[in-house]
Amino acid sequence: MKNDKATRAPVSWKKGLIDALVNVPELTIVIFIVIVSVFIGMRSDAFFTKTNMLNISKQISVNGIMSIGMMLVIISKGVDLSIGSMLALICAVAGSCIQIGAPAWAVLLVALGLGALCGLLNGFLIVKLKVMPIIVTLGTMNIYRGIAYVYSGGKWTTNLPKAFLVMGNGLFPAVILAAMVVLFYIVIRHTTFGRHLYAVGSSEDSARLAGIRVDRTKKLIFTLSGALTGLAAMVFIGRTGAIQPSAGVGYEMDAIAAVVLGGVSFLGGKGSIIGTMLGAVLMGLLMNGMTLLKISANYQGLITGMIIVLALLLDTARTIYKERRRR
Amino acid sequence: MQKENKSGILSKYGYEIALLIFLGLWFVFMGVVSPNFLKLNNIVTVITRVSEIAIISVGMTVVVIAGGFDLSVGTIMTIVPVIIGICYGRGVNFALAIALALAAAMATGLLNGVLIAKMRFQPIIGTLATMTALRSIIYVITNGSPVSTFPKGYEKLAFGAVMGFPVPILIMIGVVLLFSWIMMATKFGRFVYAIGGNPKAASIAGINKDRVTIAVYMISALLSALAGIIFSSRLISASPDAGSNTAFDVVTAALLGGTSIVGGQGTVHGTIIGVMILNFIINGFNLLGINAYWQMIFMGCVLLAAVGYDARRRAGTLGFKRKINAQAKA
Repeated sequence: MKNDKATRAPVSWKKGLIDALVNVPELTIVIFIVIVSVFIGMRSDAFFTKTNMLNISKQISVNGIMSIGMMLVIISKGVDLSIGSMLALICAVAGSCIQIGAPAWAVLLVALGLGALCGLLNGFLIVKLKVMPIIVTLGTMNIYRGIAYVYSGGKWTTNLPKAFLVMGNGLFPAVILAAMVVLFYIVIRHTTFGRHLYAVGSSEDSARLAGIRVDRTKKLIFTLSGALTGLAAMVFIGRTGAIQPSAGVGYEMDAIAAVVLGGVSFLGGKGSIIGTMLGAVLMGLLMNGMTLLKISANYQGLITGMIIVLALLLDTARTIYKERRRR
Repeated sequence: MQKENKSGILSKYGYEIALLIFLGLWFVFMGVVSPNFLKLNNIVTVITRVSEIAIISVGMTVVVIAGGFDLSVGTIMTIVPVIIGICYGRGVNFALAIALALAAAMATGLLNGVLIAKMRFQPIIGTLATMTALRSIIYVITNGSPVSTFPKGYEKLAFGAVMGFPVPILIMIGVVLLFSWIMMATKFGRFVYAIGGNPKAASIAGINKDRVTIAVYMISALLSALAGIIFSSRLISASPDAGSNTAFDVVTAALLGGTSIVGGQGTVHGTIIGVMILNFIINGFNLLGINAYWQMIFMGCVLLAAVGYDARRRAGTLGFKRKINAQAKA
């Protein structure tokens, strides 16, 4: 404290770091990822191996694909609680298509189409009923899950043909996820739809006055979220090799966790796909680390819940810091 | 003069009267279709079993009127008897076990309230996080198996009767009357309506918004705990995966009973009518042999219909928004 010059330099350095952390939410999560990787790597030799990395990529893919859809919805100031049930419904219908011997591409089309349809129904109800998305999707969450049970009669389907297992094995899930990330990066950054998405999320009334067709944009957002869930369902079927109506319970939570971890704000109009993907990676690393360190699966929800709270606390801290600086 | 009064009652309680008429029609319909439905035994059984859900839904109504939402009620309802059972099984005094469990429930409510009021979390997301974490804690402490170490006579709470009335029904009536009174006739009740109806105006009027919000979540947690104790005494067992759909059922009932999802509107008695309608319909479905999955779909549709109706009702008073819509269309 005696030497003024020596103390002043670190203070400004600290301030710069805090500013960077506040303005670039992705930076926080990169730091978390490094810390978690180093921690797990020190405790377990199996972590930094090729097979394990491949495993993580598979684990991330389903949640990652669904997180992209959830990110779109949350940027538009909504939330979609129905995607877990939607996944189960799509799996059930895809399963019956597989059983009548439909080829893989046809099943993929059915999955994407059904997902888009479910998503469109969400969007349609939200726009027509003029109700918060969270409540509408809480309703459709139960409806889709109920239909999945009624449709499948509660039965499991196993012994799937090999053609379907390909989608969930090897590098395939990671490739699909990467393709979706690139696709939606372009869609969000370089299309009018992307601009409209942020506009609707920031202020619906302003967007409407600016001539954006808010209702149509919302319907499109939920349709895309549904279609992505359809794609995730195909990867899910390939990965698990079985179809059950209880699939996907709590998947909406994992997607929400990845999205909020990635710095997407529930206040709408803010967030990036890079952040979301980093969030999904961190979630995957944590789950993988729990398996490697032999922590019981019972703790999984506790960790997810704590991560969400932590991420949101960071988000609140960021907002408060910015508000104070503005003053 | 008398005429004015009559129309006043109709406009004030019109929605509740419509719901009661619907319930009456359902009774007539079920009475014709299934002779077992109208037996006193069936009706008393339904109301006794519903009392837990009704108690939770009173808490949820208070939360929703305050402009919030509590998804964690089902897990609080589950963790309370789990704690009681495990503590008692390990030789802890029964009263102390109950005190510990209630303290845990209060702590959860406090956490919900602080996260939402002080940390600016969205109510659904904040309680979704505590719900997920609590459920996981339940699995960790029970290791996934049901807890059944309860003292002898524990089941008397659910199966006992005072002057012919089952105890759960009496507790439910007590809770309903207490909270009807609190919401309609006390300062606190007025504050709850105020912060739900217009948070900014409430703050300016000098209401401590954060404190009321936290209190509201603690009330909800405490009522969920009470329901959990009754529930476990009925089964003399506490299963770790019970109550996974409770929050959804309860919110559906509250919204059906006329509580507005955006806050500031709703009544405890309306919610109770909602609870009764939903559960007598489900009881009817069971008697008719309609399976549980169809009931899930049905409940989802009721939720959507109730919020849709509520939105229409609100749209009628929101002239400003309509103006913007009209401008956008023009």
